[in-house]
Amino acid sequence: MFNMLRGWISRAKGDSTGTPESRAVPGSVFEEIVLVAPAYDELTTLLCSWLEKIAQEERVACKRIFRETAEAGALDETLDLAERRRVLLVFYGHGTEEALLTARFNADSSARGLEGHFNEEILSHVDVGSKHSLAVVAYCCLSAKVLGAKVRRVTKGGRYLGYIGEIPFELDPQCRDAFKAPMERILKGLIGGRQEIDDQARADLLEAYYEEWREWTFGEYSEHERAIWVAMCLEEHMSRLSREV
Amino acid sequence: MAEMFEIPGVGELTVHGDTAAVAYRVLLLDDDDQWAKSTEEVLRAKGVGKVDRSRSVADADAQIQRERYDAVIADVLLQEVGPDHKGSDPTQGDEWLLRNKERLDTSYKVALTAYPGSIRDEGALRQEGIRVISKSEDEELDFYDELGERAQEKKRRIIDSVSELLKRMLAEGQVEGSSPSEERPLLTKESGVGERVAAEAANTFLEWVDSRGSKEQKSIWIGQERYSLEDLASEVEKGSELGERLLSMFLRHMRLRMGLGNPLSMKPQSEH
Repeated sequence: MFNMLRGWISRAKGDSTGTPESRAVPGSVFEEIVLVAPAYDELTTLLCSWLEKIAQEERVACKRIFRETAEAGALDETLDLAERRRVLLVFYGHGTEEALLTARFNADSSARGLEGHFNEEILSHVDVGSKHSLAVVAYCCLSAKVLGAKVRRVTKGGRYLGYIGEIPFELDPQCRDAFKAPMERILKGLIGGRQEIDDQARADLLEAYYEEWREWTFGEYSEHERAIWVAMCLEEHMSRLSREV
Repeated sequence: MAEMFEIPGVGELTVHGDTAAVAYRVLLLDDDDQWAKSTEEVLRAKGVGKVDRSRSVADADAQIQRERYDAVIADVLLQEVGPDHKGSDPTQGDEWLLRNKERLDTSYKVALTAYPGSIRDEGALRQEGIRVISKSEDEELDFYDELGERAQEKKRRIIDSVSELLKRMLAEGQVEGSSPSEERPLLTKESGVGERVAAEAANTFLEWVDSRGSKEQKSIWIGQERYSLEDLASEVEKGSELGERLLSMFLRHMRLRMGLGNPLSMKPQSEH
């Protein structure tokens, strides 16, 4: 009874506790982990494969909403869950200022779009409210600007690690891992229950980007023909990372 | 390699020169693995940044479709030809150079041979500015020294160009900490840096893109759009919003690699 009361008080304060045995990882601040990555173009397919791999490697109980299952409406259940438990939501894909994006999928799992554009919303700022307890990592353009601000301002203990501008990617097979490694390092800490989304996580992400940047500017990869371009892109990622979490 | 520059009233500037942006690129067409390997080692020791290898004319054809080279060295007698074949197919290295003279118009073209008598049309080679060098003689070694000097000169030219540009930016007050809010690109015609500096930044960026071999692959994603390096160069040339953003990114990077500022302390955009 006392534990239940303590858990209720903590959740009402937007805190990260809850009964220990309900957490995705014992000792973790998150009670549920949801990983979302639609795949419908070259970039999202690659991003999805990265998040799938993290999910496999971390071996943590989490809900996986990948590829064609990541369609509009797929997060309705997650939002219901977030009314009762503290949810870590990780998204890899495309975004706008107000929403995380996906595509509409055909029966054969191919994406339906118009002139190469697939702008269905899988999570929008209008979907989140004060009843939700959400911590979000969004590896996509822009979403920290409006969606992220709302998550922080309105939801219980809301946290949002994301970007407030467009972030470029270089998908040349010899370069693409530069954009995989920094976020992967932080996510492994979050999913593994070793970290919260806080200023330290943001600082750690920046540090990971910086180490990658140094390799492409002065270090092991600086001789690559696209090294300057990769470094420029990493600088964009760093400068567009939202200052707040 | 790091170069120091003295900027009056500012102090010292360090430019790091060993980057792929300034790499001299060479293609070797030769079927002799041993010779090609030792040649590659010599060229790298002389400062040539990138050495690619083709074993056949078919492979070389594909290679020059994909990449642009500062120098192309073709062995005259290839295995499929042999020293007994003359005046008939298949193609020798010197003939391949002549056949591709337009595609290789900006490359330094050299036909290398241990059998000078095997050259099919020396007059045509001379007319097209294709040099003939004898293998295994001092001439070959002098040639590699020359390529090394060309590689250094290319590095110097690009670094000087960027350094001059940044010196001018410093002189005009665009130093770390005084740049406009990141909400606007650093460098636009309206940013106060000046049309002349903007034009030089554009030239430098375009020269950098032009020195890339594989500019056509659409491997770049910005937002939901795909681009190649050529597409980005085109945006810069047009002076589009994306082009101005690219120039700002380029200049910021050059500033950072010169030790002016720290990527960890870049000002984020303002948030609503």
